[in-house]
Amino acid sequence: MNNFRYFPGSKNDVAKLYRFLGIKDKKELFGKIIGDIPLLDTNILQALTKEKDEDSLYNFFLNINSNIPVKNKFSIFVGGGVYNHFIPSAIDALISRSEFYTPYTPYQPEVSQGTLFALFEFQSMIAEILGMDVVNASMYDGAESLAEAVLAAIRLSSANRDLPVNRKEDIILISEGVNPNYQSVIETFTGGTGVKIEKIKLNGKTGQTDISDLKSKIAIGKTVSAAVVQQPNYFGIIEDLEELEPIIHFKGVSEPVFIVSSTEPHCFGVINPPGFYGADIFAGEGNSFGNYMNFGGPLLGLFAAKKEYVRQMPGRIVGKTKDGKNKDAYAFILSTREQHIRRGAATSNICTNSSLNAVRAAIYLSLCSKSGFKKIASLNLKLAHILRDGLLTTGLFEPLYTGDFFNEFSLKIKENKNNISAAGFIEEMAKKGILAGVAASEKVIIISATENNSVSEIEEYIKNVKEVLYA
Amino acid sequence: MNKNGSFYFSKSHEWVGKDLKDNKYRIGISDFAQSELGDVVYVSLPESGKTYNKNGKIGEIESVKSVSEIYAPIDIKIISINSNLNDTPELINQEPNGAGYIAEVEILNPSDLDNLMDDDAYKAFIVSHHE
Amino acid sequence: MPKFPGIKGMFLDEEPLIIQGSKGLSGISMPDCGLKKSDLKKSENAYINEKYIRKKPIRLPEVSEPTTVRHFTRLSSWNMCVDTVFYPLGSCTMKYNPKINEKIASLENIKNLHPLTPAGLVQPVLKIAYDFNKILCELTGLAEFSFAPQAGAAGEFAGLKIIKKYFDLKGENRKTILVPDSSHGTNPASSVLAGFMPVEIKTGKAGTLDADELEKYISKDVAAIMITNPNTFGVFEKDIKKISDIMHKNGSFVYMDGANFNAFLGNVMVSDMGIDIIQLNLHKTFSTPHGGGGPGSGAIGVVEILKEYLPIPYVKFHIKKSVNNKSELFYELAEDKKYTIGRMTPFLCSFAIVVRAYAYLLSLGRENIASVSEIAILNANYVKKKLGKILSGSDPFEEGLCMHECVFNDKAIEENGISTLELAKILIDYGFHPPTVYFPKNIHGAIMIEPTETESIKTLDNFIKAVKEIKSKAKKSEALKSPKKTKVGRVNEVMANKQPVFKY
Repeated sequence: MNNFRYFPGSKNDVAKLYRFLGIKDKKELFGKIIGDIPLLDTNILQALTKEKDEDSLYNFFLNINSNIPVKNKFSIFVGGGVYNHFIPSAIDALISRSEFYTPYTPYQPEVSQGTLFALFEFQSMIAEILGMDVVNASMYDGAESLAEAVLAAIRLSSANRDLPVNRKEDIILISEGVNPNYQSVIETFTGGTGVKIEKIKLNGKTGQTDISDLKSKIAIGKTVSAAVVQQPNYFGIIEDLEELEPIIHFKGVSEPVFIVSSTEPHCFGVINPPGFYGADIFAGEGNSFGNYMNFGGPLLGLFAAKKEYVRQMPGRIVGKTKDGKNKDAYAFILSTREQHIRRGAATSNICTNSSLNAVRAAIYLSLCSKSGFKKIASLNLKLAHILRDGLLTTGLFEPLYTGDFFNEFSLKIKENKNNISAAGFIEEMAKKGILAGVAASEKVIIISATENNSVSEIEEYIKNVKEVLYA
Repeated sequence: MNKNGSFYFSKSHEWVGKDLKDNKYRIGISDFAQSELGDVVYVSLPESGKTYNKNGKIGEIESVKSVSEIYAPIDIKIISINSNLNDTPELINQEPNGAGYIAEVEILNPSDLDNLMDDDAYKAFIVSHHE
Repeated sequence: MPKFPGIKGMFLDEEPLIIQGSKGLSGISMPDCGLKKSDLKKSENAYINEKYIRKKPIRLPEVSEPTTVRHFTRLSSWNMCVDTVFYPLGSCTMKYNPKINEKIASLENIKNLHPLTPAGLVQPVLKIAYDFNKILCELTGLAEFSFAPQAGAAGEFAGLKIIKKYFDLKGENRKTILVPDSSHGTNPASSVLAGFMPVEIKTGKAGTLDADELEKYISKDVAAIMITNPNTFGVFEKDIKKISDIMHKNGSFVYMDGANFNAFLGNVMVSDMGIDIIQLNLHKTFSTPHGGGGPGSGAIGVVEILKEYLPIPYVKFHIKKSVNNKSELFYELAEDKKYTIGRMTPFLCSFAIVVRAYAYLLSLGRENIASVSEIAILNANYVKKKLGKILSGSDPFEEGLCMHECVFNDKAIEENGISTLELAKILIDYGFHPPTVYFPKNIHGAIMIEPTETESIKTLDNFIKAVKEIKSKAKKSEALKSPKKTKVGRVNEVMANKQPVFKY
């Protein structure tokens, strides 16, 4: 073996360890433990290359990325579950403190008060924003959180009916306005368990979850465990939760659990949150709060519920308490729900979550504060409307739906000379330095604008659209 | 003094108390069981009016880092539950045989009581199984 | 020079931000979007229906940037972490997190990359995912990995879903997953989540599985065994090849919980033990930071016959003619896995974690990779042997060698009147993070120590000396009050659970 910078033990130290243990060498050490299983000859490895010094390593990553479009070089108008928001420098400075990013899960509360306190503030601020009672200390991402919400709903409705879990008659209603990737993740989690998923159509005109379709699916005799909608939905349309709530909370064989998701919780700076409309569970994405897009991960799953459902919640929860001297202290609570205690009967298998991303969110929301949080939401709302109106003025698009939207909207590309599809349009726009949106179908594109897109970027977008579609 | 009084005990550490009247009995968990659990922080109680078979799960007791199931010691029908436990689960630690009882029940087959242990037998059972 | 690192620090008290008193302040620099004054002034109901508009104020803090920075900096000083103390948390592989990995993950071109950027623009990024996959295959002997699972438990779930789907498509209704009683809690929890019934197998004194004992549980209902190797006692499963043979003969799979892969990295391929599926916790073995509980990554690897069941999307390439007629590889996100269990996350994976793990392996290279598990094992055995003398009669596996971690029961310390919990709490005042305690459950008062390869003999000696001193000196009455030098004393967890307070 060689001395290597990550190992504080030198070659001599290793030799000393061998002597202490009365073992000759590596071969004998492993031989005594693993018997006749062969040892890997690392000299013949091919995929793993020669060791790299730090500077070469850094340059390797720096260089291979030189052609990638990122912020400040490219205008990003794509959302679809992850949004391009401004990230204050203070977050990076604080989160680069080893005390935040190098501890384990705070199982020993006395030496983890920093993380626990920050997570408690995270839970508190998210609860305020969502208008919900209890928020957990994070899930992996919005999609996984939503899938776990569906599983929690199945447990809740079985408990109400005193039937075993995973029986055949569980129906989960999912609005077609829920992000299709989220729908897929729900299917992965519920697949093979006998749970039946039925989709609720969107109203062809407004783009909101269709009331009459919903009503027909929540009828007497049907055992619907949960109904899931997304706010704003995948196409950017704001759902009328006030209208949906009494229909979903229909007391039939069972009372369905009303689950609201979101991929863009910044909207709740402007519109009323799910908690104001009697949502039982909120499960969505929190990455927009101070976290980088990271090519899609790690993200920040948010999970919130009404207080009476807390014992069916997955994940860790931080609670406030006292220490022996009556000083405020924080600790994980209600751990009996979790896998390390209840094993097979736990509410979820989740263990490691997105703790550090949650701390980032807490720092971000503190920096925003009350007024900043509202203002950012307002900027998003206005910029997205300016972009939408500008694009409609070109005469090249028509709105897909008439419903109100926040910072994301869907347009249909009208018949054009080049017969360009939505995907083709995005490709052409990318050549001009603009990530134009998500192709939702042959002719439909979903576009988002945030406070990171200035009016001049928006004007540039509109100018380029004309070139791409007229050319 | 005999702390447990004349109770009947199951092997899963529940007790059935004396006939209150009209075939009405109290059930709870034993002093030994509560001492093994440590500080009780939450109790999930059975449902009033429901019938449970012997050894059927009727509820759960949680401490900070453990969960234990409560079983029906014999065939019972729940008449009423001890709702004080919702707010003061520590009653189970303080008075497991008194104010910390779980529920008042009707015994479906009175002869079942004969299959439970009396105080001395239970004490011997604990010694032989847990020490 | 002080004998032990100890704790002497200065802890500043801190209030929640929400009650710090200032009003109307904000610490964020609002981007200048170039909106016209008239637009800025327009009220929200000019854009959306009045009935949706949030009117009730949101109870958030109202503080400046310096207040926020001071607040969270103070909070951070209340944490112990790998960069400040020896953190021998068994089963958690708390190794050093190289700083260059953080710098790389923070490159603008990685952190600001939107996941829906067209493939043509992100070729090098897709290549990273592809190449890293190949390295993991080489180190494990398995055929293909997926990075979709975002933590170890998610990896277990993915692996079990794959097994479920395999049997479903074969028309076999196998329901049982065998799980040793010494396993991590996630194993039975993941089994249930994937639609199986976990059945616990009794293990021997060192938590090991006996092939003959396993035979008793074998039936056509058994879909797989989930085996942690080395097991949660840090002991190698000697019968592993026999176990794999028994399972394979029964048409069942062998799933290995790879949480303890640090015992093998660079020296043993799991394929040589007959493993069909493994999850690798990149936040343990591959040096990505734990982040105080996450994020992580639970990359899952499978043998050839299970490749088509892996989650989607995945990275593949085809050969494409470029403009000047040169052939080049074009990488893309594909979904064409024939029997895929589906999607587990909205996009590809926790890419920023994968990048760190990849950078770690590139740093080590083939010259140093084998030293990881070698030193990890030597360090653990050093602690086991030295501490075994101090905690005499407490090593349930006294005669043999352990792998990357060792475990003791509380017999010796109980004789001196202190419990495992008290030992853990007193160690804090000596300046050490406690080992994992009370796990595995089948060891009385378990104390589980995983030193990792990134600790020196001097640190290990210091820790051992501290345990020795505590064992001989600690008084019960004092022990109950430990730790005494931390920000807060023993936390009242009973009160925290009885009257839960979830938010400010």
